[in-house]
Amino acid sequence: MKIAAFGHYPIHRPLHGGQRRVAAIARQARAAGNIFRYVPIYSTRGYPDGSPDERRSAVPDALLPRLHDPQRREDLHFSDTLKDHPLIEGLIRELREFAPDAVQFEHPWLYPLFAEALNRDPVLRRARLIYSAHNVEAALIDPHWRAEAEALEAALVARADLAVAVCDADARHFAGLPGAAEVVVAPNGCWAPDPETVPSAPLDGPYALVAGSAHPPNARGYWASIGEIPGFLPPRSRLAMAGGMTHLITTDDRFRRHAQMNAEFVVPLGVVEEEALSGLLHHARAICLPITEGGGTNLKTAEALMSCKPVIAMRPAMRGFEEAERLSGVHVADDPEQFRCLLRDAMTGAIGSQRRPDEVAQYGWPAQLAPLISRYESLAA
Amino acid sequence: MSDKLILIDLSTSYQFRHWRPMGILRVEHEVWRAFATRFGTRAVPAIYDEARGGFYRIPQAIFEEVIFRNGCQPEAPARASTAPRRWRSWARIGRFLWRARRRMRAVGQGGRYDEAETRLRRESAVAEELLRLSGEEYALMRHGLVALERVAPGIAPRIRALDALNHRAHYGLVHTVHDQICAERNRIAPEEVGEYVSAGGFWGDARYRAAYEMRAAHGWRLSYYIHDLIPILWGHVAEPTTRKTFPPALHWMLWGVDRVWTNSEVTRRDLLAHAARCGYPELQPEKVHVVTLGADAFRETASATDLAGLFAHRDLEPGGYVLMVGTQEPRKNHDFAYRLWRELAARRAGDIMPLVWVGQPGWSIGPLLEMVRADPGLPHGAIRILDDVDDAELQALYALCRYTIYPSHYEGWGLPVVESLLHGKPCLTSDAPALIEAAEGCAEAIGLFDGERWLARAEALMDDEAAYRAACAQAERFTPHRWADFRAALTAGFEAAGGDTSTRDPAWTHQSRQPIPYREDAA
Repeated sequence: MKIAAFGHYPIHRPLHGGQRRVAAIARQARAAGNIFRYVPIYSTRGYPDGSPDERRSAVPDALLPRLHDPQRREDLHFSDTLKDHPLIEGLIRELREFAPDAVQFEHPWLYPLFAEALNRDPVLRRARLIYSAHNVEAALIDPHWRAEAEALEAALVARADLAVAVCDADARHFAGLPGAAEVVVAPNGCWAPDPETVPSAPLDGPYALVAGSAHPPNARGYWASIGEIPGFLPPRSRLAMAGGMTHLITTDDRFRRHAQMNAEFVVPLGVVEEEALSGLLHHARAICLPITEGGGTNLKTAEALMSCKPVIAMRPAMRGFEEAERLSGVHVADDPEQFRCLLRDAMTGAIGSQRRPDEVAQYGWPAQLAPLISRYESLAA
Repeated sequence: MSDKLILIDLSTSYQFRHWRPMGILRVEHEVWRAFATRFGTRAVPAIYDEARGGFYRIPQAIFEEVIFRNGCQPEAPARASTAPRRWRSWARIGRFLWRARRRMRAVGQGGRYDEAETRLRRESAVAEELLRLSGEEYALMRHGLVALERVAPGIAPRIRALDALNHRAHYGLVHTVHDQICAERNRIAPEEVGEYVSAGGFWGDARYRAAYEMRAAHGWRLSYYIHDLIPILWGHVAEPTTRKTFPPALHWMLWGVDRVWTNSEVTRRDLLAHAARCGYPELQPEKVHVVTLGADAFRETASATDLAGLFAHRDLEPGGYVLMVGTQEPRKNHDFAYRLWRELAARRAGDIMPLVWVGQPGWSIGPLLEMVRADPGLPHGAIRILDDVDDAELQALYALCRYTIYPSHYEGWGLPVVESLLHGKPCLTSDAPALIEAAEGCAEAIGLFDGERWLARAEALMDDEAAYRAACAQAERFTPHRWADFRAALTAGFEAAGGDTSTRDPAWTHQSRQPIPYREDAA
């Protein structure tokens, strides 16, 4: 089966959750014998490290100021910015030549650019349409833009032959929209660590790990759950902070307010390579998931579960992974004080983890994405 | 009963020995008195030396002078003046080089001293010789040595060492009281200590880490007296360095403490809430005791003649001024007092009693003081700023003021309120919880947003004799805590508390004496 997928970020070097999900879908789809062509239409300002092939479809520099107009949304107004642009005409031409069996949209934002061609072009009209949702976007977007986002999602769901949701709640939402066809659930996951490889320790001494992209809710979750003073860290232990959220945290007045304290107890690592992240996960004393809002499921949660380390999570982090709460070493807090106490206990060794890799294999990408990958074949038929 | 030593950490009193014993210094002094009286020679006065990484006993011979008498300050010695002619200066330099070399050799001959003593004596000898050169002549010699360094680069470290010694000699730092205290013979062996007591500014250096390590390695039981959590709760108006150093110091303390005293119920509540909120090991409320500070009034003031001179000097009329005492810094809210007095002056056409601010200039206060001095809307002399008042004069100012005000934003305790009431003087305070607690209902607390009430009460206490008498009667009802009470409360049950006072998780207690174990059972 030939699948053409569109998304608004490159996946050559997947860093944030969305990139990693799309990269995993591509890998699993190809592993199942499909031809999976991913075309990112993206801002080089937001993602400067696309591969040469990915750069071919990047938004032209001349359009970037309009794309990043602070009065508008980069995602919701993507299609408006690129409407009638030669770049899109060229991509439609290539798409026609590719003659896909299915066209898949990661997020709904790019769909309007291709909607007309998919309806009218004799070649493209035959392709099945798949909406690969990462969230219910309208539920997360600022209320000012909600109606617009709702309309876009509803139009795509109504037109799609298959909608993919990351959790049951999202699936129920899509199934309830007018004209919805089939909805499958393919939760987020992660790649299982290689049991044969022991990555080198990236930090000295015991540490708890928090990782997250530069997504503002990640920073809000940090401040709400961890707070300004990490009292839960025993002397000589630290909190390692990885990912794009580092910048959001360290430039915040609340971080600077206790600069000396944070210099001693917090290690801001910034965006780290996959290998370094594996090392961080492997050697962490505990992994914390200070997630207090958002939708969908978190692949950080899957990653934490598969590490087999003690996991300290705020309740919203377990969305879609509720059954994992019964596993050893998974501790869920309903308020920040409980979160900090659990983290303290994990750091002192008062609570540990007996979780085994076989108990968490279900959170690997192959298992999580199987409902989607298996549907590709039946769609083609 | 254990016979191990009780180490009383007096590092703060030692470091600030040039200050008058106010605030934390006074508390440290009283803590020492309490333990020395109750436990005799088991109580050891000590300081922490970060460079040497240990605690040192303050020798008995200099203890009183160093801690209680502002003594043992370094004094810059006399130094030669520059010779009138350049050739004589060079002759002095030559003599210095010859004599310094000869004296150093003499010290080393015969192996009379160990290595450390030899080094000290040599330094002393060379320092003496250095003082026979003027500063200018030293610079001349140094210029020559640096020129020599070009052909003999190996002398560079010696030049640097000579510079350092010259600096110490110039400022009288060759034989300091610090060297005297921190001699090896005064180093306290950790295994001889059972208890560690800190009532000072433990965040000032790394003593809290050392104490934590000693607790883990040698089983010391740590007791801390906590004055407030202002650098955390009111960090924006705290002293800038303390704002940075206090949170990590408190962090280590909360991870390794066996007993906590606080100066007020407010501080106790703040501490417990902070520990619970931030995820620190459980601090059991019953293990945190309030030991209220003492305040002994000086009811006797100076003679009438002296007082007359004092008030003439300050251009104040006894009974005709209002007093506000406290370090000049934003938290004390001099800004509010200024605006209050400005408004009072405007409403009364300038007919107001002067407001006297007594206190050392602190931090972030310059712009306000400038504004007060430059304000044409404030009658001349309506606010007097006195930053050079000694204890005796302060007592006189309290004794003869009309009343006091204390509109502080926040306090751990409220000593100026207590002192005012001890003198029978009415006090208008903000409604900061610790001020209400300290005043025991004998002062009048008014919210800082209730400006009209402040104005009305400040005016009434100036003019309305009935209102003033009622306020004085309220102040007279105050029953102060004495320092003797403080000392008794501090040491009461000190040993009876035994080993069950740990505020630390027993599991962690065990683990912390070893490297922190990893839970590798996960994988």
